[in-house]
Amino acid sequence: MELKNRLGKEIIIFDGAMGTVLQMRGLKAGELPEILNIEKSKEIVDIHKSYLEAGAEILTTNTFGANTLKMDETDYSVEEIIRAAVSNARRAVDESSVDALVALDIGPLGELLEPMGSLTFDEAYQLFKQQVKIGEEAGADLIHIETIADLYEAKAAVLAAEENSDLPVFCTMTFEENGRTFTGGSIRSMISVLEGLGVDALGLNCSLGPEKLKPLAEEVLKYSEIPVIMQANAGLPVVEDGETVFKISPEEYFKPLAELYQKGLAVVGGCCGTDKNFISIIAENLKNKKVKSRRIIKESTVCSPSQYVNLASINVVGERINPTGKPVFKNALKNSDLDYIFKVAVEEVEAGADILDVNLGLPDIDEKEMMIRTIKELQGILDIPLQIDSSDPDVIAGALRYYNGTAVVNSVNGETAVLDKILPSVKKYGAAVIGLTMDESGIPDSSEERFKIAEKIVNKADEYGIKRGKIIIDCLTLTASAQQEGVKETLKAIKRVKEELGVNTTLGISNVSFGLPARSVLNRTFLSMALFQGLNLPIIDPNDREMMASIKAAAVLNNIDQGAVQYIEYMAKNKDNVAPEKKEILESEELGDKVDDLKMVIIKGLKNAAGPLTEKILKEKEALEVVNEYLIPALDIVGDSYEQGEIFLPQLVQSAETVKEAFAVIKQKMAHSGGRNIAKGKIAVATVKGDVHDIGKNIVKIVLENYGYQIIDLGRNVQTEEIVRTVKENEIKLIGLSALMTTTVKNMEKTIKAVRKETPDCRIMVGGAVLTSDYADMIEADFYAKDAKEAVKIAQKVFAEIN
Amino acid sequence: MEFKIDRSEVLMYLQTSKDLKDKNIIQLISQASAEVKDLIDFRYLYKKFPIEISQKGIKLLNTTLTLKGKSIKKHLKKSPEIYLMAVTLGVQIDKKISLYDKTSVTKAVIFDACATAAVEEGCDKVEAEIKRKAFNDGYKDITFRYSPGYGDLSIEVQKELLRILNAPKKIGLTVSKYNMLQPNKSVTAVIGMLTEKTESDGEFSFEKRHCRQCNLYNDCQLRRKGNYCGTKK
Repeated sequence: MELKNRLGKEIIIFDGAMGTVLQMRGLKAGELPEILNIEKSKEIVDIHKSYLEAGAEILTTNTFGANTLKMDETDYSVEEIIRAAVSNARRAVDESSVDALVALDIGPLGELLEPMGSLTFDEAYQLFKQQVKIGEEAGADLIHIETIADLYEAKAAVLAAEENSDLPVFCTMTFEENGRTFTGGSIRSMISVLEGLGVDALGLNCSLGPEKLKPLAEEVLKYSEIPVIMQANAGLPVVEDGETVFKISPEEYFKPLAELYQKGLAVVGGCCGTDKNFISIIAENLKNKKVKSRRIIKESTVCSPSQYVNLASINVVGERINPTGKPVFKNALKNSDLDYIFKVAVEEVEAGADILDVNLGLPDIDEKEMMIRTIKELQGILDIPLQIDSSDPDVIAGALRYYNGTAVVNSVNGETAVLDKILPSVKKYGAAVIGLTMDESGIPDSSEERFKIAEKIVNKADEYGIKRGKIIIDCLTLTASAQQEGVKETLKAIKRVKEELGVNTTLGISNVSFGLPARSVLNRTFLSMALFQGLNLPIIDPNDREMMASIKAAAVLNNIDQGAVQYIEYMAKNKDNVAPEKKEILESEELGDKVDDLKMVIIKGLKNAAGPLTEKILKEKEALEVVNEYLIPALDIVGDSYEQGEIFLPQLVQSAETVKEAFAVIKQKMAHSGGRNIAKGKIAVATVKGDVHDIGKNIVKIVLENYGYQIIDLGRNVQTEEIVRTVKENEIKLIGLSALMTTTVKNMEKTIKAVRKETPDCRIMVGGAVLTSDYADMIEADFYAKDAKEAVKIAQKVFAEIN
Repeated sequence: MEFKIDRSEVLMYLQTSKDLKDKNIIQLISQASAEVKDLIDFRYLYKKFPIEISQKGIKLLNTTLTLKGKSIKKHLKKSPEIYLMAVTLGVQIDKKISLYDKTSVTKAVIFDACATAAVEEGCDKVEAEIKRKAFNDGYKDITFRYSPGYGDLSIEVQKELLRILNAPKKIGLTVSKYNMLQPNKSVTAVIGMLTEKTESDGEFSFEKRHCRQCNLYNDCQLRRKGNYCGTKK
């Protein structure tokens, strides 16, 4: 059977369940069905044959869980299992003398990927890669990735399939009735990412019966531009006499499928609870039938697993994750202090950004490493789609690989060399791309010349197979005070590229007003003019409420925000004009707290009052004086009260965060004035490999920071190698390791050994839920810190000895 | 399923006094409780198994699983049948904790405690459901929830336990190589069916029954303050 010729033109029929049939034949709960490929191969061949007899045209191998993580529990290797499985399916086909294909079945790995779990993207990729390579060698005809609930895992599997084989790739995911996967992924995001990665067919399987999956399948059929697969369960399982049974009849099962066939379904088969009778009825009715044509809504989107943005609409790109002209940001980047970035990102999201631009370009850092790390962290805490802002093709390719979703790339320009270096990654990962209308000779003056560059970019992107909807042209803002006549050229060019090239547009706004008074008036007016010309993606500071309001208003007036829904929502949310921090201070005052005494503010933990008050005091006092006269004494009082049992952990932490706010202001002042560094010493902290919970470590970190130590926070689930490398590169003298589980203390021990070997003069303190002082001795740590206060004492001791 | 998230439970997990007066913290607890309620994607599973007690441990019939250890044997010595249960609050809770971890440790600590209170509340509800079924089946009582990691019942059984319930596929509950449940705010437990009513215990015998088996018995701050974790109602 020629799959590629038939896919999407004629219905293709998959087989039904393997696991259910094996359970009916006596598979025990907890047994791994994959080993039966070897131990009961005849039985497996018989089941395959029964599906061929019923009319299946593609057999899925009995390899759902045949990955190293699961097979390590058996006496067989992944290689033995997959080879046996493919050969069983092949034998069934040969002995039945029918024209059918063998699909290598790949199910989820069974562990959650980072950031929710401890399995890294690369580890997942390697596990899938092994299955794909063996499967192709063993003679599978296609790769069928199924029952995936996490879009990131689907991405790892699809990349592994595409990069390590030439076989067609199918991918189906499993959704709940609410249209979300267990991890919160949406159907639109699945379509965006899988289509972008270039799978041959996509769709839904498992979780529900066909009746309940029908509305979800309809959504897929509405938006997917590639053939759609459905493999539903035989309804919801019911427990009868302690046994799980599926109660739906084949006829009931087929009814919704017949309707979906009319709507354009291309590939159909069964999942849990189905057997040959279900496949028979599908084959009797649909075999060799033409796939019905369907009306597809073609929207170009970028997305995270749970949120998507239609690029053709009007959306705000937040511009603030960018170190240019920001000394505090630069310092934070140099010190790998990502907390600063997170804070900025969260503010932008709360202010209403739809996409976040992430620019980490700074000469003296490893931009690629920093970009990948930041992207992984940001996608772990926020749902907003990201825009990767870099000029380095390598940084872009790395970021696109690890991004969990469909990203925007910012940017290419009209230079052929740039286009040829960056567009292949854009295509490979299905990203959208911003093209700047400039080239080797700079920014042309006239709109005609800029249009020509845009045209060149679009043609190049066409050559690489990138869709028009995913191209975003930036006609570039000029400064009115320097090139007044140029401003209109930008506006003219926007309209032309949109109308004649059918692409979307973006524009940074605020440059227009540089060097003139009342900049916000110029900015807003220019923004309105650009929006009128058809601007889709203004890049602004979303905290600028007037700009945001103008954008919301333009979306109403351009008939994009229909019924003014978003406009009304935004205005309702922002009608009260007081900034949120001010509001909390006011509330505190209303509640009767004094907010003019910094020590009192710290003791009471009034986080939002600390910044402004510190600023006020800094006008009269030196930074170090503020630390010694206010922060440290207040901290001591808080620490003592905690030890006395007068206050409790949440209060201690609250005070620590308040001090952190005060410190942030002090740091900002010193970054601007270039004053002396007041850090007492550098300490690295990490939660060891396997542990994904790091609240304890973060408490220790913030309290150490309060006492003036500079902390390099490696985060959670950190590999030994990374810890050793950091200790070496930063000449760390004290490291704090945290572990939560008895099983991960082993990794802590391993890390201690490695640190000892590579950097013998680095002292090690340990802490965490399961640790005791005996345990700490046993794994040969230098110190056991039972809590944050203890960690401070240890740090004071260690650095006193050094200095 | 409706969740209450009782403030006194949250304060217990925060290890504060029961009548904490700090109005900031109290306000943060109300906010976090509301957020937790909003983000919970509560899913659960349970299934009954006949068991066989042998030298090796507690064998769950028709499955591959044998629960090993003295403590679980003692726990189930009078039970002809048991229920395995698994509950999870879903990944959105974990994601929000991560967000607060990066932006406000105070909120992270409080949100985490609210989520722990919620998962225990969820377990109580599932346990009550199991209890009703047990009574319908003619049992007179059930044991308390016993989870992998208590006593000498190794947490290494998590993987097999989840597989037997088909939990990864059905409720999205998995376990890492290091035996950590993922999503984090999840619980698995074993409940034994009893043919006779057990007498209720006082405070002290509670400690004797549960805490003595715990690895952290000597270092436990909660116990010293007269509070108890997990299994206490």
